[in-house]
Amino acid sequence: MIYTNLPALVLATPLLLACLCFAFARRRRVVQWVSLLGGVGWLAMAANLAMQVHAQGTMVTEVGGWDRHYGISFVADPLGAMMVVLAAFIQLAVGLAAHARLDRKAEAFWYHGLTYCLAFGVTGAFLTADLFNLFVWFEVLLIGSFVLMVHGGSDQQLAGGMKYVTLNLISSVMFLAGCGLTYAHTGTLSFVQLAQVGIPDGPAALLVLAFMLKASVVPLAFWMPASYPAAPTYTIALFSALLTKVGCLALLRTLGLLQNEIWFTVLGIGGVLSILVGSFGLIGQANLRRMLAFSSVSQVGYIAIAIALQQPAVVALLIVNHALAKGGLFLVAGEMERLTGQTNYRDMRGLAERSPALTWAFAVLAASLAGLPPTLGFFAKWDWLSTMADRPFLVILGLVGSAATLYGMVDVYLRAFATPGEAQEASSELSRRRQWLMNVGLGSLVVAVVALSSSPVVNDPVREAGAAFKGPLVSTATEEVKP
Amino acid sequence: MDALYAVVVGFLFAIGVYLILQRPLVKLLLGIAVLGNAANLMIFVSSGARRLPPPLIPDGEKVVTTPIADPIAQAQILTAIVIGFGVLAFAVVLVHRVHQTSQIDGFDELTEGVGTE
Repeated sequence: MIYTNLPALVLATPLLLACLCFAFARRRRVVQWVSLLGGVGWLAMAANLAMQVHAQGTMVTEVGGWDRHYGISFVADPLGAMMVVLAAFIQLAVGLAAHARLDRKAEAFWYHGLTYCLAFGVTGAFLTADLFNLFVWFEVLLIGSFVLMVHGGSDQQLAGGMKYVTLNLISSVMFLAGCGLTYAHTGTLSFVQLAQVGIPDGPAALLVLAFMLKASVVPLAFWMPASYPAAPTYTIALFSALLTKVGCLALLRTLGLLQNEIWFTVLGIGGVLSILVGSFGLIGQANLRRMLAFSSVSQVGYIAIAIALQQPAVVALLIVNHALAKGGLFLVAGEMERLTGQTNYRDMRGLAERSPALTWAFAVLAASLAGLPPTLGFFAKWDWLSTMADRPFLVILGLVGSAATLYGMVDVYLRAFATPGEAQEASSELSRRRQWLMNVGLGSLVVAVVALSSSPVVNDPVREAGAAFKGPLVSTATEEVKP
Repeated sequence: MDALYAVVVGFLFAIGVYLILQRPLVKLLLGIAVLGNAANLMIFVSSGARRLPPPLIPDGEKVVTTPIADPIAQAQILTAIVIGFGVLAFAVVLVHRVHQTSQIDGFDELTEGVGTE
């Protein structure tokens, strides 16, 4: 336990970058450089925080010197710090791809600044130590995501955005009511104190429902395939990589605080249903984006089951793998749509000849999603299966889900990439500079998925960060020394 | 008094849910607004809705000895009201825009055109 301002500094950076982007909104080049260089700087700061937390232990910022059980505080535990690094990396990689695809009009409407608003909310949610502050950070990231969802304003986006906004508003009300009831019952909202008292069933039900909706666990997942496909692919890449993960982490943090253990079972059953619905849902889809959205539902199912069985190390691996692989696959989907002018992957032809690099990116990311070596996904799925070894039903379920993902991905490969055909007309061409940005953004995700696969063998930062997670955020007050 | 508040909160939640289940988008908005206020009122009641002095430490003392109003619940409500207001303003504009571009007023009609290409 170290008291330092570092977590708050890492949190404030995306807010500062968002403000800079808004301030120079009329000067396109300046915004581009601010968002790119700022993104690199933020990633460096987040990595620094994670390394310091790894070396010295959990770091705490108490805003204004108020005791953290009453005032606002930020706690960077190993898992939270690692998630911030993940968020900064995704933000940068997907941001590069967005730079490649955005037109002048979209950039003029504050796109980059809005993504940093979203990142600000996501980081806050990862670092907060208090149930009500978690609600506030959810709202911050939701507002950012609402605007990004309808950014561009096509009819489809508005319709998809309407569903997304409504569902999230309802879940916010549930979350807020859950907070209020928790405070009424226990007189505290700090995670540490709640871990000692326990949240009773009434508010627990509201909180679990709200988080299951945010994480998109069946039966509360159907908004995702309905709304995500409407937004541009670089926006969905950001959403699918980060937003559901915030819900997952909130579930991991709060489930241990509940008095009744039945909620673990509820989440576990939700996870089983998610794998089934997601797997069978993705097989039937012709629209590539809807297929990937259903696959997200099935992957969240794996995470939910790991949370329900209290395996934080596995949760960390699964979250990192899914964020990288799914973020990358949505970018690949965007490129496939751009090159062929089709949204239905069964109508796409001959992509392997036209863009070998894209083919490789797709193959690696799809392998990681399904859980094939030599990718991080293999280790994530391997760990998942080995912790379920004494539950044959779950092992079979996990293998079936993985097989369904693999089937879907192979189907896409065979039809869109491997089938030769006359060159389809691209819906738009990228300039050389933009193509380069896209390659770097997408390439860094592919490299990360492969490079991290060596880490479970060598030094294992992800699994270690997950394993360091022990329910309540900070140990009890006895061993703490304040400066 | 608390019992009365409890009934009012329950009634507001009921109205909110009823409105959300209606077809027109405007009623959906109203429903969300009512639900938000119901949640705010519930936090207010949860801290004990009594007439108490503000939590100020009198001159020359270290701690408050007399009963005071709970500042944490009040801080929560203020925050929640501001957030709810902002989010609702966004939702109103969104509904207006949906109505403008596609001339629809019912939630069911939204399913047309998304992902069906």
